[in-house]
Amino acid sequence: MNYPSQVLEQAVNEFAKLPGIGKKTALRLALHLIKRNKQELLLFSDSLKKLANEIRYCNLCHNVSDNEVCNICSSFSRKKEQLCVVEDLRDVMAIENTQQYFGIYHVLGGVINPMEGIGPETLNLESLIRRVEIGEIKEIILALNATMEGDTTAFYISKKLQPFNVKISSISRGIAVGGELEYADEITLGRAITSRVNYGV
Amino acid sequence: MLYINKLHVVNFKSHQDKEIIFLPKLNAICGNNGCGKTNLIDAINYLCLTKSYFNSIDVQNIKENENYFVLNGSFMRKANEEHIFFGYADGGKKVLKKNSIAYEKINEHIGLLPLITNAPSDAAIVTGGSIERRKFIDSTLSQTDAVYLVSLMKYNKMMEQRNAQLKLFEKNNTFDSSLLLLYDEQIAPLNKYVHDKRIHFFNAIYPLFLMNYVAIANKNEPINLIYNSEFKEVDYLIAASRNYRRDMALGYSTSGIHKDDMELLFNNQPAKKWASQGQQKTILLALRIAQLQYIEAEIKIKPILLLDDIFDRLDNTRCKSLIKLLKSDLVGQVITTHTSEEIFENEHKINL
Ligand SMILES: [Zn+2]
Repeated sequence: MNYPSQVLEQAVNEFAKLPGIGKKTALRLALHLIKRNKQELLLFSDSLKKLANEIRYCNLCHNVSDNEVCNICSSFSRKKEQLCVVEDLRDVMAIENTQQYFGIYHVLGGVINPMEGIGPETLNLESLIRRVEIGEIKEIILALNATMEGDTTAFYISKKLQPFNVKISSISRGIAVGGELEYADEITLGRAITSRVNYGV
Repeated sequence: MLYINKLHVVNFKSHQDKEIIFLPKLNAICGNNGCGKTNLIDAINYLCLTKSYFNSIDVQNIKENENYFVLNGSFMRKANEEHIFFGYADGGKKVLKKNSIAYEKINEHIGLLPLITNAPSDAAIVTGGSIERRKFIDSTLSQTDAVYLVSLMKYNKMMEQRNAQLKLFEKNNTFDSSLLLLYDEQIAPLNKYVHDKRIHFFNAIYPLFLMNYVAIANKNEPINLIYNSEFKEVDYLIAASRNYRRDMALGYSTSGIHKDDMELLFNNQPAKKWASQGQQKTILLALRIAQLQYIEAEIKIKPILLLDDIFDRLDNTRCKSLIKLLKSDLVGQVITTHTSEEIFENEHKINL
């Protein structure tokens, strides 16, 4: 496609890098933005700049946070002996929405997937083991997506945590096999997290 | 009893509008090259297995200058008539209906109308590499055992990840056997399921294959069939762990059912080198009919057999005994294609 302006072309190219956005949609979005007033557009770009400069991750659980330690990890009302392992922060949000879980989290930042070049060393796994080593955590709930990669990662974690005195369970799979937590409705997910099944290696 | 009694195709490949009536047993579609015999075979393949045998890109099966094709088939299955409709429009989705009710998931149709198609390219089962023979076994077992198909797909995906892990080790200059073990412990039960099922299949078709061969060749010939697999002696976990070093050096997994082969032998040598073309064709047909007998034994219904252009390169005696076999009770409905009508005498001929 030929663009009348390089500035526009550059913006389109950036939009097209986003998941699920093709060149056509990217052009529509860019044209939409330049039609709005300048003030609004600058506000939009400011929030993107802030996202780049100020976003931080919790030192403990790796959830997105505005502080060193996130609200969940620093809350007195959360049970610190119960830890839920998830793939990414969307899963934290989905489980929080159920209002059925009162423990803390650990965000892996992905699942083991060699085809995508993701080995265990690229995930937040060592910090998980360090957290368990301290001894306060009594129960680990594996809430990974029911995909082959999610299962492999759950299997890996349960092996690594075997030497420690923790109970390992997996959320009950009322969730369709191959399904993602994010898409499970709140009732299903809430039920899944309250009725866990012991994880056998 | 399973057979197709009526086929109606519109805008499908070379055919604009064609209707054909079939008989429950042997049918011979006759006509010159290029008159669309194979396309009718493919239409039946679509109706039974929801896809083309020859070209997986549906849009390319639409007749030139048209934008859709429609296939209708009337099948008799255990005394019930089943009307199957398959429609595809350019840019749209496949639509499959049974007795006017559309399937939500097209795959649910597979298994209702079992079918075996043999095309000239299937000569590769005898003359090609081991992958062709594994495909032959896998496609049979997938029609009779849903767990087999799921296990095989899982196995393939696990193997892909295992191979990717090996490449990742190489790239990062690391090695961690516990990561391979992570895959191997998940692969082991899948490997065992697929292997055991293949052995079951092999043991079942072995005597059938030999009998069919003699029936077509009219004599004994030094043919043999063997199934080669390291898992006859050793468990997957042990075999895989022995090969860690080799896998690392080669960058792919050298243990597993993806290395198994069903060897076809003539005089204890590979049939692809040592058997004549007529003998190779006889081997293939004997295998096909054994496959049909296996499916029948498993699901209690004789698959429809589509044989595209098989009489080529078979001498007269073998042709005659093959026809005799195809007319026997061993097989159900058979639909063949030919350029010459001569080999058939009293059969149901469909001239295009
Ligand atoms: Zn935190």
